[in-house]
Amino acid sequence: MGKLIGIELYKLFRSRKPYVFAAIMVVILLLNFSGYSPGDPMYAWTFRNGQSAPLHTLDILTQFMMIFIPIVLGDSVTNEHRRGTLKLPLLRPVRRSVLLGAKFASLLVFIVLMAAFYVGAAYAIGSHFLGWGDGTEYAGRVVPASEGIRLTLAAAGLLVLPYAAYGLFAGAVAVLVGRMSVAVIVSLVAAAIASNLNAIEAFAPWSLVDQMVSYHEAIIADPDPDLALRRTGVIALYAAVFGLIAFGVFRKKDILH
Amino acid sequence: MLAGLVKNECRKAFRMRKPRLFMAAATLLQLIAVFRLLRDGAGEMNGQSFPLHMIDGQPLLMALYAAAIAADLAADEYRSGALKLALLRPVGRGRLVLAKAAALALAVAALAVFQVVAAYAVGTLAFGWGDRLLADGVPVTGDGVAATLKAAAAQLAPCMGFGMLALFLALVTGHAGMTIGLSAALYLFLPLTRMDPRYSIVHQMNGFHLAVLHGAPIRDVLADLGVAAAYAVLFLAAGAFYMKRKDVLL
Repeated sequence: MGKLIGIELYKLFRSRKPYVFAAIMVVILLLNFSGYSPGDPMYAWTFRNGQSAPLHTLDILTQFMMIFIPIVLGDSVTNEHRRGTLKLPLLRPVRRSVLLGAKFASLLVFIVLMAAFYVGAAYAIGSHFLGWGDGTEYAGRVVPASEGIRLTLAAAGLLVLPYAAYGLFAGAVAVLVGRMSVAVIVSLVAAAIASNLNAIEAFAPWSLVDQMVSYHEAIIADPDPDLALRRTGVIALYAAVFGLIAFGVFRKKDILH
Repeated sequence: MLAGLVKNECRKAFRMRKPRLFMAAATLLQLIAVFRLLRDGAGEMNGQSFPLHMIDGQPLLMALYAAAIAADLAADEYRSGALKLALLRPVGRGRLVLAKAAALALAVAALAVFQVVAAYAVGTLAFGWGDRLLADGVPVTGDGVAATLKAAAAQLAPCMGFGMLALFLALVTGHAGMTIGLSAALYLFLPLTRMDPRYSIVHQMNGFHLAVLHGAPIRDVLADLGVAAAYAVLFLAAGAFYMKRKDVLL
């Protein structure tokens, strides 16, 4: 399994995708922060310094992940299936579930690295334009920098969970469809529809997109154990359902062409 | 020759499952909008105003659709090696790109027409036809259907501009996923930057139809149309130029 994960990671990071994604993140952050000034009515943000920037702009990271994750899985599963390279690892004594598991594990590594890169880039670019500042602003309070960094890392780390569940959804779609563009589009359109549904209060708590935006809020700063447990349960439910679909379909998929 | 190429590209664009997928998504979004309006109190919403309400709410879908069709017509064909098949006949590469652009424009227009027709049907079933056209709750004078069709047609201009941008990305990246991802990122993140809205194609996609509907001065309308046309022409020309030098013999 470890070797397979290594191969998947090698394929992922030898492609141009992660570097293009990272460049897009940097460009978007530069364009946003270069024109931002606290109190500007053009912006919904209110933070005043660079050390608060990553925590206040995590919704941008979520939007990036909604786009990047289906592309990574579309390439890794659908495109490989189409090119006929998906079957090559199976020439060795490797079970299909292990192969798909390795692809999801490499996706998880990708998510963690991208989230870490985003936080680092937001700190650097935010501090460049706004200065480091003397405290991290969060939920109407100002906390010391060390506590702010801890909160920021905790928030980004917690969001990895709903991103991974979204990855399982995108993976299930990638296994089910035969074209990469369809795999990416179905995931993006589903996310757009779910975002629309979030406006319905009864639906929002059950929406994976809502968890991708605000899962961390129930746990950091003012923890609400009941809410955190419920949200974790919702994420686990999505992960279980789409994981079962992805592995179930992949087990019986005709890949010998 | 060009007409034959366009026909061929249109056949490919409309035979894919994507138009049907997007039609289903557009209808689902309309049903969600109806549910939200009924839950929040529909106010004065009626069937003849609902299409206008939906034109406001669906530019993201149009952007994704344009990107998906561009990705299939250019990037996917390049990867699968099918792009060179058309070039086995005496066809210029520039003409092939032009035919793909025409097919993309027709596919986007077809989805826009479907959205309006479906919104009339869904809106009338949910709210009744009503006695006047409202835009954001404000009555619009004149023929309501004509005004709605004018707004829908106006929205097409920036959508075409965005479509040509997506086609250019598809030709350059040669990767369907990257084409859709970059187009989606541009649509989502361009408004967050401080780009002058007059020159932003995304801003035009979100607001040009409203300017036309509310009778903006002809000079402003022409300026906006010029921006959309500039996007379309520049990216189409850049795509054709890039294609002339691209190695398609995979």
